Amino acid sequence: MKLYPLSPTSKPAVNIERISRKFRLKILTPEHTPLAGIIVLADGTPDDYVVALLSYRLNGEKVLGVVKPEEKRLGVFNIIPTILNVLREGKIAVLIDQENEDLNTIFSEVSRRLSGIGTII
Amino acid sequence: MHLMHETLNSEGYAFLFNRYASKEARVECKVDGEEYFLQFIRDDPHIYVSTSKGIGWQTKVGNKEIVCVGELYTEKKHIPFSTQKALINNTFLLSSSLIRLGYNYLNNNWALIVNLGVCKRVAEEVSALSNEKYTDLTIEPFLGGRLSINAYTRDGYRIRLGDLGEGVQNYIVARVLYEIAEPEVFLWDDVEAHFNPKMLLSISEWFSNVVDKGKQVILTTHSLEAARMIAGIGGEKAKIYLTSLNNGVFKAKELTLKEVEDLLKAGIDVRVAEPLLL
Repeated sequence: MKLYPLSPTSKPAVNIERISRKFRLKILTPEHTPLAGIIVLADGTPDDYVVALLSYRLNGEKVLGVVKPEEKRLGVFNIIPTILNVLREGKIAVLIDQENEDLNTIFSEVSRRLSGIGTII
Repeated sequence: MHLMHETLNSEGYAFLFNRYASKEARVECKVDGEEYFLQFIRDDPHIYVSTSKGIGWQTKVGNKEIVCVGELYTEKKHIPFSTQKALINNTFLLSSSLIRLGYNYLNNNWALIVNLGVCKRVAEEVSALSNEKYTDLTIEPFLGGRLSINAYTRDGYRIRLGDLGEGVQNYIVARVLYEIAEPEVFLWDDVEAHFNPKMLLSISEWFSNVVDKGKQVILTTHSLEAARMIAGIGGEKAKIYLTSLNNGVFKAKELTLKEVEDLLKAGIDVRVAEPLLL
């Protein structure tokens, strides 16, 4: 899996490039190819490093866009309609910190927010 | 246009064709349901220019009869045009690579320019944007008696235009030339080049005033900051187009400022969102 930075000047894009250079991995791709999906980083660093390493581990040809929205944590679900408007096909993966909440609480909050914008999981 | 592409002593309009090799280049658009095109047909060393208006003279290219409005050349810059009616009159193209040519124009037309009162006005405008305070522009002898265009400071000093920051130079030349040409269509390539945010704000206001007078302003930029500022000040009249040229095919998508802002909030920079938007 390769990552296409949808905001190359953002901190996560810079961090992914930095870790790529450090470990001599080719993770980011600048090529304009159809995206198989988009990874939404809800919390930024160090999740960007995790995505970079996962991307390397899941080595393959598919290209996924990676974004870090302005809003954090569950707030990122507010921008899902914007992504759905432009992503012709493929999946959206949201990477979010669990922190002190249990998974069920997070899941029901995500469901509530998504249904509020007319989307279901 | 030719001068923006000239490389060493290689000139001409071959750059219009994909990889310099294709036989035809065509620009199409649809306005109010009506289709328009501008076509460049190559027959080395000639390039025949035809439009959807069917104006001009008849000529044969290969086995095909065409009506062409003008002729360009793949290897030289001479441009014979039969009529200007087929094209928009008085179009002004600016790019930072053409600023030096602007100097020559100012030099050759100084008598006309100096009496328009535009130099004083532009000098004062520039003063508001830089630390130096200028009152006028002059052409005077410099070292060795050779002429130079100078900005005249409030303290009575002269500074050659070429010694000012490139943003200031671009601003002065653009403003003065615009006042002389009063074009119907104003094109500016890489408008953000050399401008600090203060100057960018100032030219954004200027563009809005130009548009309010019924003129058209078409700008290209790689700067999201510039696009947001200019479109923001331009309001409803401003349109943003994301463009790309891939393998000889030019694509464009119209975006509103709100769409650009929303995408930015989502972490998507429209300048690299080609896989999603085009």
